[in-house]
Amino acid sequence: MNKPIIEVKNLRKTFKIKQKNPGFFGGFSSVFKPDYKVVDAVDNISFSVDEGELLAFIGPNGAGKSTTIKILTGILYPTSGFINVLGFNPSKERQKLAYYIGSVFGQKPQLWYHLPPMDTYNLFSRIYEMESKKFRERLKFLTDTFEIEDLLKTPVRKLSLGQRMRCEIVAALLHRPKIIFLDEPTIGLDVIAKKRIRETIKYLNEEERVTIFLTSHDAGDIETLAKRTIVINQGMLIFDDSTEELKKNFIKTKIIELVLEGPTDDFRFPGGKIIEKSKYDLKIELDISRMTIEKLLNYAVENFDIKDINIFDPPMEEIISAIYQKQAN
Amino acid sequence: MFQLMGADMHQIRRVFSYLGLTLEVTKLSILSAMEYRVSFLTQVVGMIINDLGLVLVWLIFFQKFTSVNGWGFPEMALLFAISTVNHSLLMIFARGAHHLGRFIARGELDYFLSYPKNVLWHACVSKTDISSIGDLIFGLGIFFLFGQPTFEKFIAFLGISIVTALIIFNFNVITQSLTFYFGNFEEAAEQMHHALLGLALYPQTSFYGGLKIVTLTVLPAFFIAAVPVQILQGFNLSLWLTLLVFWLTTSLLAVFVFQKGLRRYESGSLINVHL
Repeated sequence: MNKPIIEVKNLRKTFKIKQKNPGFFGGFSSVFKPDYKVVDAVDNISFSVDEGELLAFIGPNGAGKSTTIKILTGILYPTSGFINVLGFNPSKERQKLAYYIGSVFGQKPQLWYHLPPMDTYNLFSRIYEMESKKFRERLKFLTDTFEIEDLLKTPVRKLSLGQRMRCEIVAALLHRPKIIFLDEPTIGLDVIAKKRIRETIKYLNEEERVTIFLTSHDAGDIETLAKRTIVINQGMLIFDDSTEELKKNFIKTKIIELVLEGPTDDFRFPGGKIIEKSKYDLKIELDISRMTIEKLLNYAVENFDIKDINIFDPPMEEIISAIYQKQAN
Repeated sequence: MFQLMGADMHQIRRVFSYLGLTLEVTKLSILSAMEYRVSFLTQVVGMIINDLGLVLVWLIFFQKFTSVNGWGFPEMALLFAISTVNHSLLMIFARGAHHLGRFIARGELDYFLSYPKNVLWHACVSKTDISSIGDLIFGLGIFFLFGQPTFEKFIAFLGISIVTALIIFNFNVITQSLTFYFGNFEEAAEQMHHALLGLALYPQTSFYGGLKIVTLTVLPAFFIAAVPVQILQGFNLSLWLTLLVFWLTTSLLAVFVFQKGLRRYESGSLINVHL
């Protein structure tokens, strides 16, 4: 049996947010009589993560995901609660813990923008106090695995988003972390780059036995990668079970966008609900437990000239509201 | 005894490791700036021209008036040499200290907190001001031209420049860290930094009464300008000790204000890029 590598009990984090009435006088009076609102960013959550798990930690914007990750990595101090990550208390032993964890924030790059990735890698080898021989071996292994050999000497600003993300992941893996926090690793990537990053994440988890803590707004990331999912909303934990269970109960629909050569007036497909319609564009919501995407596409191809097709997952907000509805019932 | 020596050796190794890393990060910052050669050279040469203009004003002034309360051009030249060198050392190796308020207010400390190094060190060394290379060249030039240099005097000059650079560093850490407590103190800290530099670039014998108290406390121009010039004009142990005690005191205060404030850090969600 695997042992927990992350333990969180009754974690809370509150922020004091200054309130201000609009306008000049509102601003002026708040200088002399400031008014604060206390917000529970993380509200009494408990969970544990086993060694080698690939866990999705999801929720809408402002749900408390990033705050939780920042507390787990020692960036933020918790208001109360017990946290143990790899045997360390992150708020007291941040520096020691940092040797064993890696993080990739899709929107916060680690690589130096004007320099080639190799320069950042060299710097990281010194920051993580790696022996020169071990660093070279590790870098060779990672550059071969992620096929970035040709990118090492190109300034980061000249790389495509997908190439940059692979280089970012290599930067986070150089020091052989035991846990990796991935925050929106596929944000802004095209389908091919997304697939490649997902394969990379899978490889890390299965071959290197790295525990992965993944946050994403892309339901596709979660369906493809995570065996277990935690959903957090308004600072509270509202779902903690297998991703299979989440899919079975809450990700029941897909959105299919069709762009036709001709007008959409005659488009009538009984198994789907048209949620948006313009002269040549259609958005259809499909309940995949009752109807397959294949049938819809067959109907479209047989009866219309198709210019473009896009398939989307339902937005995270819809999944959350479905969870709430089920809990209320 | 051996245990104590072991602990000391560990601390010394740690200091050298941080010094080595500081050089490495600064090297990367300079390399990053050199990607754009024209901008790089313009900044360096532009700063030298700017400094020359300031010194010329005083040169013309002292041709008309022999002294200001006992200070003539030699004292002003020494003052300019020390002020440009200490400020350039700070801005080349630890410009981040000057940006701490921004890092705190925008939640940009996250980046530094995710590495296994001291966060204050990492944030401070993360930025380099390229134009300050011009300041450094100018300051050294002025010292060799007008400072009647000898080997001993040059060593003292370097020592004083480093200690006073560390005092300005501490001043920046303290004022910028007030952002932790007051939410937005970046602009105020910036103003205080310029006020300190402004006061440090005038004949130090001109300050009396309330202004003198200010230069001894809130804006410690006395310690980064008056004391260094006096030491360079003739070795004085008590002045050296005064300078070192002031540096140590401000160091302790800077670490205290920053560490205490760090517990109040609220992070942020801004997108940022490491340049």
